[in-house]
Amino acid sequence: MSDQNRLARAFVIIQQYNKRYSPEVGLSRGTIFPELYMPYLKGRTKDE
Amino acid sequence: MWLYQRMLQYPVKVSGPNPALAKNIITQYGGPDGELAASMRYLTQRYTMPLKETQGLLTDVGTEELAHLEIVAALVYNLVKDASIQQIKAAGLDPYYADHDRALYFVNADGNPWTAAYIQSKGDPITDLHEDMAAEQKARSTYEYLIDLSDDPLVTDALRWLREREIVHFQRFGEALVRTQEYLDNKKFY
Amino acid sequence: MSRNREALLREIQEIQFTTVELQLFLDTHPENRSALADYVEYSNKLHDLILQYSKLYGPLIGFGITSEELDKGYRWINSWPWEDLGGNR
Repeated sequence: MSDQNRLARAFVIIQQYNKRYSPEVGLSRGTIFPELYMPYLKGRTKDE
Repeated sequence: MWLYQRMLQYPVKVSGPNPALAKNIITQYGGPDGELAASMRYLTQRYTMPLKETQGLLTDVGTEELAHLEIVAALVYNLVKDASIQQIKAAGLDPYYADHDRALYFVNADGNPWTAAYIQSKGDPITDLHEDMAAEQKARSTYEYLIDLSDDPLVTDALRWLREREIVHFQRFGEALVRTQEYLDNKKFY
Repeated sequence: MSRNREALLREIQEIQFTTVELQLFLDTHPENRSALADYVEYSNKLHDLILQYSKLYGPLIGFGITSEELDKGYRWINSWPWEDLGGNR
């Protein structure tokens, strides 16, 4: 049993095999999995 | 053994000489959260993982990190290869030049040489996988700081791409952690 | 590097990247049949593209060369992936 409710234990949700980007889009984004595409938005820093 | 492919994993370009940017980016070559540390960490931890698939994951991610090491090297090399001495001095890269000319060497942004103390190999698979997940987050943060510092959009594109790989690797190590925890639980109770 | 060569290399990078992503996915989902089927499909495509590239521009992979790759006046000294990335203004 994968016990998500136990104390002092880290848990990461297991990814399902759902949608993928095409190879072209996947390479340019750095992942073929839309649910893992989490781009960094520059400008988060104070002086920008 | 490993096979070498004569191509970069992701095609990168630089706009022109930029030793100041190279001085910062080199930390992902030989710094504490850089690609050399990542690759060596995973490739050396794999032997003591209880699950074959996790040994495979560490082999595959450790191998991919070597490809990232080559991308970072290509960036640094191309940012300094045509820089003048004047540009190198202005960028504060002259102490590095004194020891290495325009050659690649494993240092962090401050010039400290790479050390095995950057990585751990604890033997406890849960501990090692936590280290690996933390390593991916540290590398992601570093790429974000480098993106903040970058004034070359072509280099920023490469940094953005490398940063995204850290997120995917974190997810895979997290899944490996859950699987390993399950395996160890079952071993205990049956 | 010629435009055609760069385009073919880009296609190889795209397909190979998809196989890398699927390989890592399979490392933590080894029982996933549809991911495995996709992995095999892209691997086949990758092998075809690499052979196509090698015939035109010389071997992409170090250690070993086939007679198919050897024609077209192949020279032992080739260009390396960290060259020609710009930088000289």
